Amino acid sequence: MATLKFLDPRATVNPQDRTLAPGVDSLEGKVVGIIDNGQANSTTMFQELANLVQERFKPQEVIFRTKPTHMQGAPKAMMEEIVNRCDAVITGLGA
Amino acid sequence: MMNFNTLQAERIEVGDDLWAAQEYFDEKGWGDGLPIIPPTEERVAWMLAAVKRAPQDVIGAVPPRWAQATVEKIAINAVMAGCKPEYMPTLIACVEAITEPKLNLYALQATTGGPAVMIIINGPIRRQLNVNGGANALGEGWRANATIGRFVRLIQRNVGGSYPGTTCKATLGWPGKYSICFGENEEASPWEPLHVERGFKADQSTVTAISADASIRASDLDSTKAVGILTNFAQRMEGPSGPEAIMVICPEHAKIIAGDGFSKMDVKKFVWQRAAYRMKDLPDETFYQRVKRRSDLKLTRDSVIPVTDKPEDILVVVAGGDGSQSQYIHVWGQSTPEGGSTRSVSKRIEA
Repeated sequence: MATLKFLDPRATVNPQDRTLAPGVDSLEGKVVGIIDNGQANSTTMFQELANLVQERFKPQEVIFRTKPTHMQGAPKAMMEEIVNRCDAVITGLGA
Repeated sequence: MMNFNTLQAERIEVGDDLWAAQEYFDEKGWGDGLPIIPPTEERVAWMLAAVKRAPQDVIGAVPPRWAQATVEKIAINAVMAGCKPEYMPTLIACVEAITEPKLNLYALQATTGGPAVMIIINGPIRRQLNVNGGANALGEGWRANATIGRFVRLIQRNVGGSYPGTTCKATLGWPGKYSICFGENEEASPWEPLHVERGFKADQSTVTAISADASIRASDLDSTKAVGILTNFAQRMEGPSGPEAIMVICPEHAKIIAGDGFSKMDVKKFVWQRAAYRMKDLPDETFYQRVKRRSDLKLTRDSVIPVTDKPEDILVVVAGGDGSQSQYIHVWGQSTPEGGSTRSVSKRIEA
């Protein structure tokens, strides 16, 4: 049978090897970061989450930050603060 | 003739039937729903022969997968879109533009807002490729317009990996996502063209990529004065808006406006002083969200947010044929104190 041969239009992605962060065994006494994307329901949900984390896990501190816009990644300064100060971070990822 | 073994893309074979090829692409979701030209080795080689670039040269990384757009992948998607080989330098410039970080293609690809990436072409290339900027410039009928715009979307899909329903979360999208590309009607414009405003020479050719998610007709068959046309236009531009806004002014309106002594910047300033997002009648919930989102503006119920932060952020381009019909094209995005969540990018087309 005659065939039609064509090229795949998709690009390949070369996955990079990454090591997962070691994580923490518990949140007690730890500094926990929460990054909220600033949408109406997001803020409500993450604030409730922050309260629950505080109540149930007794962290040393909860650092709650809201992105200036949900349409972009968190600003560099916010990311640096979270990375430098927190033992664990809770945020959302779309799609 | 090129040695096909240098092409690195995987080969796929279907029965020798155009209909079977269409079915295959439909199943995979690699097309846009319209018929495609199967990217055979011969056709891809033909595209690649039109540029002095190595097939594996990487032009940019396309989100959301951050996959590499090589010249070969550009050629493959160009064939699918129905582009001619002489479009290749323009297509490469388009990929350079859409992968520039300040456009923030990642957000444009993923958002529920579902914008297209609009391409505006300037310079002598318009004549060389027969890019329409005259009658029906935003409509159908010109191969360059149709296929260059379509190519951009196919790159977003097949290289970037933005497929509706998975990584693309567009609630509705709009028809501009099939293709939206036109040339500025520089010959009919009383003003300097967009690329000259941006620092390019008139005889250089450029593409400008910008987020675009709706088009609203700014019809005005009544006004014989600039003030009338621009006041009407500003009314089309009321409401929430992005970091930029696009006024596509038809030649008849441009002639009247310029005839009353308005430069492009005068146009921008006039419209900016009038087109606004008014807080007065918003529902309470919406109003309080605006207060929160733009805490820098300290909004009250009497506040108005201008269509863009500065008049300079309004793009004014002349396009179209006879008639009194201009258009406002809305930019998806958000104005932020940091400069906005997306910004248009202009790139020179190099041979």
